[in-house]
This record gives sequence, C-alpha cells and structure tokens, in this order.
Amino acid sequence: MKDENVVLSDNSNKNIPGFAPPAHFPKPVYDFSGNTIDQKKFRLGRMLFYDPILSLDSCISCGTCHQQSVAFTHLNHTVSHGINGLPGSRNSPTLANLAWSPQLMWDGGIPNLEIQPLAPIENHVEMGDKLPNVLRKLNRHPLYSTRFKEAFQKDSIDSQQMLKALAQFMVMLVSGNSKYDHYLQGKATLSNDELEGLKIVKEKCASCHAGELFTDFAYHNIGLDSNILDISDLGRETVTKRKQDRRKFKTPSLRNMAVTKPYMHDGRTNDLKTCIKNHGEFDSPNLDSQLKKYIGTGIAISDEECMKVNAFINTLTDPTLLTDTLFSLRTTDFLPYSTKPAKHCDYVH
Amino acid sequence: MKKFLLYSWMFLAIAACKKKADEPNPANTIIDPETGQKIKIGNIKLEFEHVVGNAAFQINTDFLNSSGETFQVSTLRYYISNVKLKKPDGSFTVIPKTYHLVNAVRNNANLNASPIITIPNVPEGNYSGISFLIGVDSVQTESGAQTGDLSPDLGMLWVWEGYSPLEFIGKSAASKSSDKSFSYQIFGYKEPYNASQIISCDFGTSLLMAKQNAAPIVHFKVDILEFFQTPKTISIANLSSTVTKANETNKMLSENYKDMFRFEHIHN
Repeated sequence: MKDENVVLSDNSNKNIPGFAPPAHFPKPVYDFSGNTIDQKKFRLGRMLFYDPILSLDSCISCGTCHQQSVAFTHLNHTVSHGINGLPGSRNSPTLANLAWSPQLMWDGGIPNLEIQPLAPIENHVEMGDKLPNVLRKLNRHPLYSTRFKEAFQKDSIDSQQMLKALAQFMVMLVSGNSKYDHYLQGKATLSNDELEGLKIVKEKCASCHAGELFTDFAYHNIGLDSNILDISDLGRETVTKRKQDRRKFKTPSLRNMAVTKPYMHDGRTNDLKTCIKNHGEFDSPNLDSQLKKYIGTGIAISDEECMKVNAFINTLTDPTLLTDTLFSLRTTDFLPYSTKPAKHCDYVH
Repeated sequence: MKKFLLYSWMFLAIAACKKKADEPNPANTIIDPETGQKIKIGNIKLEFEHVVGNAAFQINTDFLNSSGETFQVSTLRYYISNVKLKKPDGSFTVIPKTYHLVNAVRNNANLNASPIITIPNVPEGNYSGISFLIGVDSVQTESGAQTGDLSPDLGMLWVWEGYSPLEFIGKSAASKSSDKSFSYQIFGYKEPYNASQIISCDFGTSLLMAKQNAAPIVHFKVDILEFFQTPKTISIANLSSTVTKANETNKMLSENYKDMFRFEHIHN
C-alpha cells in the first residue's frame, strides 16, 4: 500500500482495498449501491480532492482545509480562509468516517455526502466558484476528460460524475485502526491511565460522544451562547427553522481529537480541559438537559482526571488515516501535469 | 448424433424463451406491485401553455400585474414530479416517479412554444383527474448526486435548501433593485416552510385514455398573473426578490403559484 505506483497506477490491475471498516463499527449510512467503490473513480476523487482547479482562482483545494496529517482538518486554524484569504465562520471538521454521518456540516444542513462538495465549491469565502464553470474547466482539462471517460464511460464530465468520484474518496476515509481499536480487537492493551480515561469518558461523555464512533450524530446546545464568537451563527436552527434548535451543533467524534485542535464548532479552544469544562458551564435556553446539572461549573474534572482522559484520547489517534498514501496527494496522479500552486496563491497556508 | 443435435436445439430454444421471460420490463408492460400481474403501460403528455391573463405569454414583453405594475419575464422554470392519476372510482394510480424541469422560455427557435413533458409507465386505462407536485420531494432531494433534469448544473439546487420548486425572474420599472429586476427563486422542500405544492385537477366530463402506443395530452394553462394574486397580492415594488432560504415569504409565494395551474382539456 505504501508504493503509490503499485496501488493505483494506470497499468495496475490491483484493486484498491475496498470499503472495509472494523467489525465493531456500526452499519454505514452511505448508500454504496449507487456508487460502488472502483479504482478509477476513487483515484479521480483523490485527484479532485487535492486539485485547486475546483476553486475560482485555482488556489484552494479541498485538501487545503482538510489536511491528512491532522485527520483532514485544518492545522492550527480556528476557522479556515478561502479564496483571497477570506475567513470562514466555522472550524474545519474532520472528514474521518463520513460514511456514517447521516447529515453533513456542523448544523447538519446537507442531507447527503454526495452533494456536500457543492457547498464549499460555491461558497464565496471558500472556493468561490460556480459549478458550471468548474465543469467547463474539468472538461477542458485533457487529463480529467480522459480519466473521467475511462471511469464513467460518458462523453463529457457532468456534476454527477464529479460528485460520485469525490464521494468515493471521502467515504474511504475510515478511521478505525487506532490503538483503541486494536484494544477492542484484542491486539493491544491499554495502560491503567488510558483505561481510567476510557472509564471517565464512558461515564461523563458517552451519552453524546456515543458508541465506537464517539458521536451520536445528533445536535446539542452545550451552553456556548453566552460567550458565542459569531452571534449570527444559529447552528441547527438554520436548518430546521425551529427556535428550540438554536445553537445546537453536531456532536464531533472524539476519534483523532489529539491532532484536531482547535476544538468546538468555532475553534475556540486548544485546551482539552477548557473544552470539557465549557460543557454546561453557562446556561442557555436550549442547554442540553443532561448538562443542566453542570451550570456554573461546567464538567469540571481534576488535573489528574484530565491527564487520564487525555491519555485515552491519544489512543483514538489512527496512524493509518493520518499517513496512508492511499489518501495522500500524489503528484503521479497528475502526470504529466504539475500540481505546483501558482505564484498568486501565496496567501494559502 | 442426430439426437444430440436435437437436444442442443431444444436447449437453445428453452434458453431463448427463458431470457425473454426474465426480462424485467419489456418495452410496454410493468408488473403491478399489488397483484403481481403484468399490466400494459403507455405514455401520457402534459402540455403547459403559458398565458398572462387572457394574453399569450411572450418573453421580454410588457404585461400588467394586479398591482398595476408593468413587468417582463426572462425566466420561468419549475419542477413537475410525483404524478398520480385519478380513476373514475376515485382511487389514485401512482405513476413511477419522474422529474421534469419545465422551462417556459426555451432556448430554441420557437421561444414561446408550450413545453410538453412525457410521463412514461402509465397503466392502460381511463382516468378522470390528475395530481402532481410542483417541486422535488425530500426523498429524492436527499438521495445523492443527481443527473438529467435534477442535475445541480441547472442552477435549481441550493445544497442547503434543496431544489427550488419554481424560479421566476424578470424586469419591472416598479422594482426597488438598482437594475430594475425582480427575482423569485423559491426555496423550501420540507416543513415548516415547504414550498412544494400539490396540484390536483379533475378532468370534468373528459377522460384521459392511456394505452400502449398512444400518448394522450393533458393540456394545462399556466397563468403567470396568478403568481401576483390570490391568496396574497404581490407587488414587485414591495417584494422584488427572495432569499435562497426556506422562510415564510417563500412559503407564501408558493401558495400563490399553486393556482397558476389550470386544467384546460385532453387530446386523446
């Protein structure tokens, strides 16, 4: 798998490994029947993911704000910035285990993974382009027009092909090979601190950070309203139009949390202890009922407990997700073309 | 040897028959999901003749709305889906789903010709009424990347708010916008601001006769004036555009366009 020329080169008949999550994962929600994982489509998805051709000024790719080494989040960014450095409004979420996510985005506003990329492509502070223009660029590009024809057997590239290819890449980003997973599989043992951290998480966090994916994929208000950074962000209410959903946000998974700082939908903190304490610390009309008992203090844990939780969280880091070259930008995908960013893209970091 | 040849021939004949029987949908029959019986099907057509009150619709031509405002239309598009046909006994036959984006202004030589859409898989029989949805239902909206008339390339999908049931754009001196445009791209595909509207019409004394190898036409008039009137009177001066977000205004406008669609007659 580490030899990029073997896994997905043009002449290789070797298939990419299929979608194969660990047995302790639940059933995915993504409907594979309409988009069977296929070597050529997956590779196209990977190319599109890392290609700034999807943005108006050819500077921003999906991979700009979803970086593999930090579990496909944006390293050291509270919020990301798109074309011309324009700031976004929410913290870039991880793309790990999207095959299980019933809705996308912090507020769940997008109902299907396949159409999700349309949001950043057309958002004026992200990639800032328009779909018809993106399709024109792809159809004009000799590499894409050839590769899409090979993969989809259609005369020209339409948005459905582009989106299905991107979805293939995204659903394959399974994170289930951490030390914790090995522990569940009986292949590793956890230290006492790690086990005690696991116990604390199960006791205090697992009603929302639930199951082996460490999220219930539901929306909760944890009381961030009183010191909200972006007052205009109404969270889940934007989607449901119901006031009782005001400033509810999707429970993020705890998987790979050690590498996905900063935390919360607005990237407000880098500190695990602060992050935990922020749960229920301040009241809100929609505060989750399970957090009401913490008003005034938040989920306060001792330094020692925090150390143990931290030790456990470290066992949820999945080196396969972070390093497998199957998910990496490969210049060989693009040969004979270059993927070097243009000079005017200096603002991207 | 002769016997062997005979057996081979018989085997081939059986194989050939089998293949035919296994075919899921031979050209013009479908299997009734309730009875398991094979039923004959045909096409029907829906014709949408656009009018402005008593006048024939023309692109970029002055018309007057009920608020006394002069307006010109440059774009009018809407989705037709979820067709059901009413049988004389009052029950409904649900036609397998198709999605059609009807464009009142077509990019061909005959700009103002009435668009006609074809609805396939209609079981043979007589029908006394029809219902359809203006818009795209939530199941289809949430089912992934689409193509054809549902392709997002067509500019009718806003990924946060689903498909726009109807888009209506033009110019009016009454508009408060600097370019004197009005732009109503309606959004909302689920409650509480679902802007998809079910249109139901009875054919009166006429019957729609669906059969194999025929394509009867149900002719509708779509009166653009009705966008501006009943139940609410919409003045372009007061409302020149909508936001790409399901809300009360979009919902209210959808109540208005519901009565744009009027059954006229049937050509069997």
